[in-house]
Amino acid sequence: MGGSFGYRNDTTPPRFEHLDGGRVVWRSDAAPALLLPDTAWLNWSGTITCPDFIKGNAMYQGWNGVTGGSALYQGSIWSVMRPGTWGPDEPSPYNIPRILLGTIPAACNFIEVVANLTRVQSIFVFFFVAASQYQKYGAYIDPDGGCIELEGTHAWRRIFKVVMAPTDNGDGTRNVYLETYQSVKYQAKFTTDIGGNMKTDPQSYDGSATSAWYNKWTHDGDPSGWLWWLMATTGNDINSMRGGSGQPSAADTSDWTTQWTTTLSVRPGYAQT
Amino acid sequence: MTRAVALNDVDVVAIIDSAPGGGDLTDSTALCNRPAIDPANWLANNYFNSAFDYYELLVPVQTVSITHTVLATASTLVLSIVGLSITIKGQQDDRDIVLYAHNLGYVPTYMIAYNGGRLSAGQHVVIRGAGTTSQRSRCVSHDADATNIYLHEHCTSGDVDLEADTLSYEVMIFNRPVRDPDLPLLSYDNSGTGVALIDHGRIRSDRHYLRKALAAETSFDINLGPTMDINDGFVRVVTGGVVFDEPGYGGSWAGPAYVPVSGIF
Repeated sequence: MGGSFGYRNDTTPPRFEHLDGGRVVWRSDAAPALLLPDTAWLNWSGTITCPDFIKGNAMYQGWNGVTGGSALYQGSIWSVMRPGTWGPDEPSPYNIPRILLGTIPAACNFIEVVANLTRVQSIFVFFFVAASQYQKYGAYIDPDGGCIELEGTHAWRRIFKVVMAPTDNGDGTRNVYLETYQSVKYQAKFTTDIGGNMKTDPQSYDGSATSAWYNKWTHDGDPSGWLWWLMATTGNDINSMRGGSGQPSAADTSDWTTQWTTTLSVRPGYAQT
Repeated sequence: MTRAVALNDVDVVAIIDSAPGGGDLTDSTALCNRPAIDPANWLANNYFNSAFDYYELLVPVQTVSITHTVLATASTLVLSIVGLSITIKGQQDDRDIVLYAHNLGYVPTYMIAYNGGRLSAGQHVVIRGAGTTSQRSRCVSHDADATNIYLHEHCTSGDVDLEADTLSYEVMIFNRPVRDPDLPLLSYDNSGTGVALIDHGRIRSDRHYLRKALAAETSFDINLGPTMDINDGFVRVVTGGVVFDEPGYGGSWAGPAYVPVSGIF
């Protein structure tokens, strides 16, 4: 028995069916998932920007020597990445505006996306290790649900999504947006596992109790976040603690902004529910 | 009323529920035929329309077993200053793995299934020792060119090796057939076992199309919305109701609605 296309009224409800022998190719109650033709695709090229994170600093004063004898003192200052989540519905300074890609017919209930991404600048290392890049640059990717995980470390991630607006525009169309998100995991106190302990208050040198500084970390008023970058070290200086005359400069020149040249092809579709 | 429509003057064949307004069922300008003529704006009235593209499977679903190889641990002294030395344990690597050679000469539409759901573009398929110095992982994305479907793997080791893993993936590659102008809207090829042809031979009964699953059929899911959420530094992937969490994800997102589809197995 070969292929057939026809109408059956001996079923409830009656149905049209396209068969290959006994195999259902499709039928009116098992409709094929469809994609709208090329003329309905949304094609977009542009740059996705993931903004810089919010940062503070930590200082460390190391000490090597013999009590009562000669000793070396060295201060270091580290950038600390603060926890938080960024996205299109977050308040400032965590807001990343969504980008309108265009409109599709309102009744579409899914989209098929093809993405091609290339990051256009080098990225900082995160605690001496390059951030993980999860995509192959310049490749054609069919992301499920229009979502792509871009990059991350043990403390943060960045993703983007191509999404249909949850409500239509009232004129038979529905908006499609590009949304960018990033999130840094909450950590109440940057880790001192790498050596030393957090100094008890006061965090800033007041001219006394100098011995309490050695091999200790201090924070800038907020201990939360992740040590991620050694900004500077001092030479041998007994006053190289926070607030001391030889403390390292707290100027943070890092910038975690990344930009991705992106081309997207959004194919509207409909699947019978 | 559900009915078949074949309108030769506008070269459309469709199965539709009529729109309000009545008219001659064979007249392409009749109000009742709007779903056939303007299907993008009458999607829910269309069960089939030759104006649309469909997911026609190019070759049978390919189940591919991939052995992801070991990534050795490593130990790298990165800092030594007074009172503080730091050694990084582990390393990372990127690998491109040919999942399937299609040799089509163009970049096709494809889907990859993994562990009961559709594989996301950047999904941690292995994480061991989470939150410890022994944490090691594999994050897998995928892409296509005119020759191959690839996995792109980013893997990390910890203070121990990332072990080899043998994982199974199902690859679906979809064709974009074109009309044969020598064939009519509807025809039948009675050579061989017989093939029922629609839309100038573009839709054929001897091919497999992704369609709504019938009861008890092996199915796969089309997600009807975004499949990723990010919360407290990490990502949750939900595809077809199957949840994949990165350790540390802090949210409770339920994932998108989805439609079980079949017809390709």
